[in-house]
Amino acid sequence: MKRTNRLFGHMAGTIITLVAVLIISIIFLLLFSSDKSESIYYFFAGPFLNSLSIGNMLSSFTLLVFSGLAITVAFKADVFNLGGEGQIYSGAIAATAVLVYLPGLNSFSGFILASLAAAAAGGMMAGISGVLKNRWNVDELISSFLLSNAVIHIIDYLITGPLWDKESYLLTTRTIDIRFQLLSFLRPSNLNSSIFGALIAVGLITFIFFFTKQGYELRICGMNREFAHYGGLNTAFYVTAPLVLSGALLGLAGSSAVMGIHHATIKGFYSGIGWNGIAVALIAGTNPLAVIPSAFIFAYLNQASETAMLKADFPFELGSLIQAIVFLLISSKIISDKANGIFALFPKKKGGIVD
Amino acid sequence: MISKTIIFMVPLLIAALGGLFTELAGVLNIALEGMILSGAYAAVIATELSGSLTVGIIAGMSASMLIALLFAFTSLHLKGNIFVTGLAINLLVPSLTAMFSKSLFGTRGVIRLEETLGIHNALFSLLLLLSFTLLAVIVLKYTAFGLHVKAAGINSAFLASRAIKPIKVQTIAIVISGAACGLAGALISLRLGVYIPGISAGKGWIALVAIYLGNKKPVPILIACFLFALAETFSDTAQGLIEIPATVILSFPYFITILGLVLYSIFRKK
Repeated sequence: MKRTNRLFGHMAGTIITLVAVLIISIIFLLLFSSDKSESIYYFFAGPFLNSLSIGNMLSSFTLLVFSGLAITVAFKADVFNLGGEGQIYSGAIAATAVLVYLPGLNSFSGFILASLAAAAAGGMMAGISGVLKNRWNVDELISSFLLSNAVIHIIDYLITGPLWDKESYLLTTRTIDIRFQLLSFLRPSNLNSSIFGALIAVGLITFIFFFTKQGYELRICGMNREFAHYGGLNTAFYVTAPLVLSGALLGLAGSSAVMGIHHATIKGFYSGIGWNGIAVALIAGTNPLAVIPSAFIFAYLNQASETAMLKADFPFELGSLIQAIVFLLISSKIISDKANGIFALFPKKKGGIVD
Repeated sequence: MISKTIIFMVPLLIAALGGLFTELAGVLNIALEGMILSGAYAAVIATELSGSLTVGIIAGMSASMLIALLFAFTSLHLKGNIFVTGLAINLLVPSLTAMFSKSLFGTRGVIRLEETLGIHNALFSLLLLLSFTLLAVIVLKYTAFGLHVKAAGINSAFLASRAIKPIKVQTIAIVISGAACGLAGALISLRLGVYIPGISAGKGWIALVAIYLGNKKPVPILIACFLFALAETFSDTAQGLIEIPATVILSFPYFITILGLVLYSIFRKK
């Protein structure tokens, strides 16, 4: 039997989607930029030109690994978590609150407590959707989105109101003490030691999925919930637990941005991490290890559109457009079938049609 | 207060009735939000360029119908996951509007109009509400097309056996929802005489929940929309009465929608 996935199609379809994204990006660059050759040059080479852009690319890679991994966990259990932005935001504000207002922390206990608070905040938010699903059969994909949007406004209020740093000209909370700030690399870029945290998280999730009983049960639930139910598994648990885990990882994305990059919670900093996490997860299929290359592709595309924008006067953020195009095409069954047809022309070659 | 509620209700109801067609045709339409936004945007741009509100409304509807076609093409014809493509539409529209604003007006944010559409009359709004509801009832109940839409949702194989392509019916339903959302968006932005990014403010999602709450029937949807609009009016009025910060009030529609969703699920169970 050919291994197909309900949602995501094959690798081949993904490759076609990415090629389409590149072509459409180039068309937009040609249409809208004033200096066409320059913007194309910066789009392709820009991210690798200096240590600043390399560092920033790896920094956004870090955040995308966290958020992409989070969504992958939910997808693996066949549940949806659309509350990424709100969960990142609440993770960030929880971590900031711990580090700014809790006295007597040293750098180690501060790091641990802030990370726990962030994971708990994000996990709780996603967990509510799981409970609503189990208790009243409220669709988690709608409830997680709505809850996230509601919470975003409340956190906006906290940042611009009670937690606002009056000495700053930005809409931001107070800055965390220097002893809590993560190690940075390739200054003045945003890259910091949380990149190792992200990679460790990938390892941990892979281990949980493939080497633990719970991970096995979660995967069974993701493949066929009814079968899992008849097999005697607690399927309700595997709605809430993956959502909590997913929310916790998104919370960690928030706290790592606070401790590693901004050193405070800035209003609206989550934009471009939350939704991109879903795009990353869609490209990765449901394979946690594939999150790494997939997050890298997105980090590259983001950085590419940013350098093209800055250096060559490109009029808008290509990043969000790219994201939308990926969403439009990635789940198409027709494209993935056609793509398989194309790759099947070279039957002896390995790769291409691997799921 | 009631008159304010009725005026608030108009765009919400129009979007919900449009979404009803897709819902009945078996299409999960979470793209309502993006379609409303595209309608709101195109209406303001066209009014600004042409100076005519009528042109604005038509442009809003056409833009939204184009977006609807893209949604139909990627989800039905390319067989994408309807949910992911719907999300794509909701992400695509804000980035497209920002792009057009930047290249047309050199701004990426607010666009202001000289004139506004004068729907401040509650009686006229009430008339609009009733006639649109009536229209939806008639089309869904008494026309062949309405039956086709319902058949597409219940049993598309049956339609196919009658030599009617379910995909065609669903596409038309999506385009209808696009036209309705475009109109809804145009009414929102033209009434205020301004386009602000994110002006749809969750209306598409609320419309979707109103469809569920109204049990997929036009008249109960009318009532559901009234309840949501009443809640909106309350939070609008509360702003002046009690000291609630404006940013917190922005979260109310979402909380109310969740509450509505939970209540719907509880009642459906009984």
